[in-house]
Amino acid sequence: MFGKGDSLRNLACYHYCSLCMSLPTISARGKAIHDVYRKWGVPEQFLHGNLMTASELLRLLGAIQNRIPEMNARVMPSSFDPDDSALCAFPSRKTAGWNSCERVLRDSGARGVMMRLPLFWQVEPNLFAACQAAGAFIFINDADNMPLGTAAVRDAHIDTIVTDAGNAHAFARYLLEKKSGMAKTWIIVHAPHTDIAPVPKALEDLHIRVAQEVHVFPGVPVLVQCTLLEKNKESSFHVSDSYEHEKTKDGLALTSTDASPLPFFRYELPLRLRDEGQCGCGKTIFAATH
Amino acid sequence: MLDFNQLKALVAHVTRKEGGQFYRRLYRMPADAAAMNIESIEKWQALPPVTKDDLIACPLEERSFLPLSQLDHLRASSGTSGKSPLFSPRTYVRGMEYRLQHHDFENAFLGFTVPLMPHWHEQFQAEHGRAVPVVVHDPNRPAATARLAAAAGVDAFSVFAYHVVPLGEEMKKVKMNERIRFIEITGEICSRVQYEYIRATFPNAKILQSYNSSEVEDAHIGMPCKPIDGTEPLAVYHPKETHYLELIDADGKVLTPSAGAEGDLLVTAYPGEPASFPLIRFRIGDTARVVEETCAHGTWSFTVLGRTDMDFLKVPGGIVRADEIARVLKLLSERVSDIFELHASEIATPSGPQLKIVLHVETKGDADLAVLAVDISKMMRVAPSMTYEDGVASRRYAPLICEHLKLVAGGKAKRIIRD
Repeated sequence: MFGKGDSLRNLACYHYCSLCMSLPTISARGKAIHDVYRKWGVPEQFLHGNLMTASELLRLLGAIQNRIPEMNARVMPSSFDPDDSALCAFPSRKTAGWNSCERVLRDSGARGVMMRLPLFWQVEPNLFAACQAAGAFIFINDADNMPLGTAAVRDAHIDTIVTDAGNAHAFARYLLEKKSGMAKTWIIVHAPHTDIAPVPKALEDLHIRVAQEVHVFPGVPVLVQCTLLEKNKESSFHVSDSYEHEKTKDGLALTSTDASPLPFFRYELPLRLRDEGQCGCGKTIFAATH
Repeated sequence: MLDFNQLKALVAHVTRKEGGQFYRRLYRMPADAAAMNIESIEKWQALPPVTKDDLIACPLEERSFLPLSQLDHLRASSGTSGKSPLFSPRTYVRGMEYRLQHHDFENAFLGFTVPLMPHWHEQFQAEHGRAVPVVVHDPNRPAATARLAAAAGVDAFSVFAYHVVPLGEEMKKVKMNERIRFIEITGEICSRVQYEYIRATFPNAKILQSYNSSEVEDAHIGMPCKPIDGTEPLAVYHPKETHYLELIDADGKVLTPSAGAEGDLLVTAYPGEPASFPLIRFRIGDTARVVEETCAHGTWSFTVLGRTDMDFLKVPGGIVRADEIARVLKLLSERVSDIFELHASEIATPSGPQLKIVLHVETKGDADLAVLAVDISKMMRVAPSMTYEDGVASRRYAPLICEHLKLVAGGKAKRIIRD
């Protein structure tokens, strides 16, 4: 859909060009995203081409809520807090899938995957698709029901747990206390608005694989880890293949490279990140800073 | 329903040497015995029913007829009285076509994870050319669910009976309740108070109730015979084409399914291949009553009266278990014995139906029933991190009431009764 060589710097020119009603300096990607925004009635105030902040993105989402049924999209919540009065829907690709998770499940030879993420995150179809692609079955466990989760690890061949940072700490500690076995692979999802929590001590064992991700909204991964970064068990990430990035003063701005119903355009992550050079896999490493 | 020849083939299938070992052990077949050949319906009726304890005792990998890598998902159900939970394997969704008679599924659908996983809802719809997204219902976060459902354009949903009130209240807030045109209630039996709430809150919805079980691979045991329209019994079901249902009396004798006959339900469920676990004569623990000998679907129809030997009761946010009640009563042994009878019902409140529990107990001395009720409420867990009192505080349950137990001579103690 978009050319890889498009200059993101050109996107910033859009504001001035729109004033003179011509689009000569807009990259193909910027124009395509602009067209998508126009199609869904995104108000002009959001089409400035400058960096988009988190609060601005939420206002944009609020403005297009009534167009989501036309998008035939999967909806994800715009907040990790179910009681957030500003919570609205973020339209995501309808085709189920979770590439970064699927890679970990394949690499680790996962057999049974237990989802301990809140149901309102809307990730079950995506996680199921990743499981099926990797030859694993799925089991849903309410995060509050740790005895059932423990029984699943002990009796039901669950070897992989997908959960958030807070629950990973609590459940890993609980499993150790109960001495009922420990899942060999953990996929931990972080929210971008808080300090990235370190890997739980209970999971520091070298034999336990921990893959971490940062989601911009629940179920929307933007920062992921390769096999090399996983091993460090630190808060270091690569930008997901679904985005192009540009460095900003304190972090990163992302522009979608895939055909999302509502692509990001120079969206500045609400997270402080430091460039730590190139990874052995060839990608740039970004470390979360406090 | 399956006919005798299909049952005969099924028994041969599950008892072949190279299949799973569960039924060969249950039927005490010698290691070198060939597959079982049942020659008459009487032989079929002599097969021992499968209980949940039988299933729990057999490890998942030995029970499953498919390699674990070919499973779709697992479903968990609680074990009886302190036993481990049962993990039941499933393959893929089948037998949901009845829904298309009642709704077009052209818009987004809201589904809980039970009895159908969200991806099962999507698969069913996609198989029938309805490639619309499914929104996942989170019963612990109904406000978030309602907002997402409204944004997605949901006009149909399937949730537990107990989920409807909190969800309905949130759907009213986002002004989408009148948009709902199809509701399928699952889980516990929908009471009249609940039905009246649903009817008033969702005036444009067709309301169905299905009867399902975690142990059954293709989920539904009872297919909705008709939409609920207020006539009693509210929910009437008929068996699936791929199932065989029997009613037995207290002595295990199979009853003729004539109108009004009541008995303990045995479920045989075989959705066809691939099947991870064909279920044969499973004693689900529910008492059913025959409504019609031949319904419009060509077989006998039935309604479910409740648990045969009820040792647990699903409630909003958890389960009230007989062994948990006994545990709490034992801790209060200076004031009460551990013999009890629990009656559960729904009461209408301005914000919708609310669970009401009355615990009939044998007091000692001059124990104050009101104080006892408060103490039991604080101690009785309905979920690992939730007491009955927590449910009262969140207005899910009415305050617990204790009354004096009047045991009928020969009557059974420690009963849970749904009124």
